[in-house]
Amino acid sequence: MHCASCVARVEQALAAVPGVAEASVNLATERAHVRLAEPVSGRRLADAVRAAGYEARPAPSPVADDAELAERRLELEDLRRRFLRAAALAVPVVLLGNLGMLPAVKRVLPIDAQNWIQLLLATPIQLWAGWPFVRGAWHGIRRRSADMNLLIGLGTMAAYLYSAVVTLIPGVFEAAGIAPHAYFDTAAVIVVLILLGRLLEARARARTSHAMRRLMDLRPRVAHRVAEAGTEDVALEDVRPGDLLLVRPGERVPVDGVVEEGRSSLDRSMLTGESIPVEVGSGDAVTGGTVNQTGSFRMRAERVGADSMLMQIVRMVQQAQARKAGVARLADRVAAVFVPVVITIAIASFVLWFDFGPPPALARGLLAAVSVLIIACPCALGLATPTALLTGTGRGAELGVLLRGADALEAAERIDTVVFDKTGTLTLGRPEVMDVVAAAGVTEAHLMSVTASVEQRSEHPLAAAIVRSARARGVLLAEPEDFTAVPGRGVIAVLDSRPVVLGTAAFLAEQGIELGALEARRGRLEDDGGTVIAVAQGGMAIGLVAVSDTVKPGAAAAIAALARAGHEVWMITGDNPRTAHAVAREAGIPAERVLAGVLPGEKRARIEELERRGRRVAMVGDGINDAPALAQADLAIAMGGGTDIAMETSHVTLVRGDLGAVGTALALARRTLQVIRQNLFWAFVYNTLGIPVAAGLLYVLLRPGGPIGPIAGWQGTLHPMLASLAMALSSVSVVTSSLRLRRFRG
Amino acid sequence: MTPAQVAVTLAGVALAAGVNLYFFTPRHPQRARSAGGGGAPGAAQGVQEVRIRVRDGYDPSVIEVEAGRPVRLLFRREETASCSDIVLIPEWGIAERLPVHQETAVEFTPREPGTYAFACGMNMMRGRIEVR
Repeated sequence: MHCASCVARVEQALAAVPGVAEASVNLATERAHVRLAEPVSGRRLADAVRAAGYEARPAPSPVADDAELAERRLELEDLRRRFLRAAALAVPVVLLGNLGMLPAVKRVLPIDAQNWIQLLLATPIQLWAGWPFVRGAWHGIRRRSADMNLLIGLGTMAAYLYSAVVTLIPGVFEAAGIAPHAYFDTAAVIVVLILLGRLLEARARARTSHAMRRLMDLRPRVAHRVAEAGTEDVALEDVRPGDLLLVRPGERVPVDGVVEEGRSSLDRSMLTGESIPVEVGSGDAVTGGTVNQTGSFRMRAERVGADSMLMQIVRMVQQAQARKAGVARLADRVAAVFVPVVITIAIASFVLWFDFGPPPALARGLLAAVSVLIIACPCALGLATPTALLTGTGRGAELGVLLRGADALEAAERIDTVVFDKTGTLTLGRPEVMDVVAAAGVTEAHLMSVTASVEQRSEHPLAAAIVRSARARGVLLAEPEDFTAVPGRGVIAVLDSRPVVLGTAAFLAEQGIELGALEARRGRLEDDGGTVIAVAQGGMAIGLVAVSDTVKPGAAAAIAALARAGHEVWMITGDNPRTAHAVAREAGIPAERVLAGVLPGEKRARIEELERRGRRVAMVGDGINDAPALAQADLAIAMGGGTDIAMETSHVTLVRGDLGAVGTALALARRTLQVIRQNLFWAFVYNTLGIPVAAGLLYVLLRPGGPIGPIAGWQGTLHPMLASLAMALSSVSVVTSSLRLRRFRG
Repeated sequence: MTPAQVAVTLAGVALAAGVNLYFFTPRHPQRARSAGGGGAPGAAQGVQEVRIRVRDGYDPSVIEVEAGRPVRLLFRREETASCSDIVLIPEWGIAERLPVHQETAVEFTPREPGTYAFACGMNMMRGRIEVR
């Protein structure tokens, strides 16, 4: 599909299908949305598209959904069934394998009969319960891509087949002087333990993506769509951009959109970790997944489904897995050559035991080779990074911190300098009336009434702040006449048939109006970083209104915390030095670390300069205006948002505007990386120690008459059953270690 | 050394060599087919498409595509083992969930020739995309 005419053709084809009320096709996303008047099968729709000469597929669900839960349940049920049945069958096999040598047992059941019974019991364990390994091994061989199933499959099949041959033709072994001892118990116990390990691992792994699921669960299932006939309940998937939706108290906002009518407060804590509810009214943006608390309101849907902020967050958490950490790359390289190397070691240990081992050399060689294959399973190595990453990024999402992936973690760990953009990052990004100074004999209310009445006609951003403030003070506004705006300087109007002049002091002076006693106050207000608007009525100055972009509450505490954690904190802004220093003072940033008057295009260069001086810089900005500076910084932290651009260009996105999250993000990154390193360390230790021990290295030292001799009777060999226990424990312990991140508190 | 030991040693060496030769010999990549877009002129033309079965690994696991043309990999997962529930192409930042018994399209346009890996979430199941 390439052009708008294709869109039209597909839309027509779909609309022509009986039962279709409306069809719309998006060229960019190649998605068709169809509204149905009556049920129509997806196949018929697809056929219609194909008949028009295009391809159609059901849209993939953008993220994990209910299907995932169902899959998990299927997998768990399958594993549980295999494990329980195999375990039940394995009990008599193990009993016979260990007690069968006792003379009393042998009298009742000769060895031959024992072997046959074990063969009967062990066969379903090997070929039914263990079938996933055997099948996986076969696929691996056929495709020349060796994986862990190959190791387990080879290991258990070796023990099983050897035992089966011993059972079927014991005479051949006896003739060669080898006792016809079967190892069915070994094969059976390995299968049972590895199934148990997978069962535990699958359960724990489901918990690692728990945070993501919780985010998914924030979506309500239905929305109330306002139609001409009244409201109707529709499934969330059927909500389209442009729909008018009703949100009642206590319900979750279904999709992203804008309030059309009504007021309420929203609890955004599930999405952002921010605990204070936000007031919303007509024209305010609302985010799907937040909880409507007090009032009902109507909203216009804007972004739905995969485009919604909630889904973008979920998707981002999911995609964090795609970015590998440097520490994990080593594990990947090892994994690529691991299996063939382990098979080689297993063959070598069999040969060495056979050639140099004490009798029974064949059996000992077989057991050593099986142990090597089983203990070497690189499960723990494979789980080390993804489980920690998933848990850490999931926990971050709960705290309103979105980490892009492992590369973000590594960048965050090295940071020693944090540079904040001023406007919208350190400050609210929206000017507010900071101070109102009325001249002698004039009330503040009168001053605000005059100022706001005139300013309500102005489109200047400062004007909006003044009008807002006047409304908040409950001041009555009048309509001005003869309104004239002089851009960048001020406004002249007539109010109650008296001339009003407001603007800069210079503008008033041009009109022949002196500030007089107010002049000194004006200087002080400007030193505090405010923009001062002087107001005159009837040729007399009646007061000053100072407007400034205020520092976010909590900014000073957040910056102090960063400084305590050893970070150098800087501020960068295009604003003039006086305003910049005033903000810096309030936020607690030292004056020498303020970069003021920096043109937008120069921000990148200033960040680069800091980096050239050896600083590892994290840039905190709003993600859109600061894109080049963010891209230059070692770590890009975008404030607020959920906008695509911010998420794409930044390593870290802070969902709420709270600056404290910067410290949380850096700490979470360090902690997650720490857990990944610990996981990898133990997984490597486990494998590098486990393989030589399984091969029989310790036997060389601990054998009777060896350089050390047996310790507590142990001669240094590792039975395959113990190897399988170690293998199961190593995977479970790695996942458990990762789950510690769920308790991270920042 | 007894004849049996000699025989076992030789067999072991041969087997080990065979295993390593077998697994380390480069696999032949499966070339992506151009997807027929149907009647519309130019529609979907140039999209290189490969169907990949996901069960105990990726089949095929080595894929050859041309640089500069869009690629569509159609993964069909035929197992419930959660190992394979996500496919990653780290170089391109792709992480796609693969629902069971369903075809999931992963689309991208490779610009630079080279070899790119794709793998499951644990990097246990691996494949390769060779961009020419």
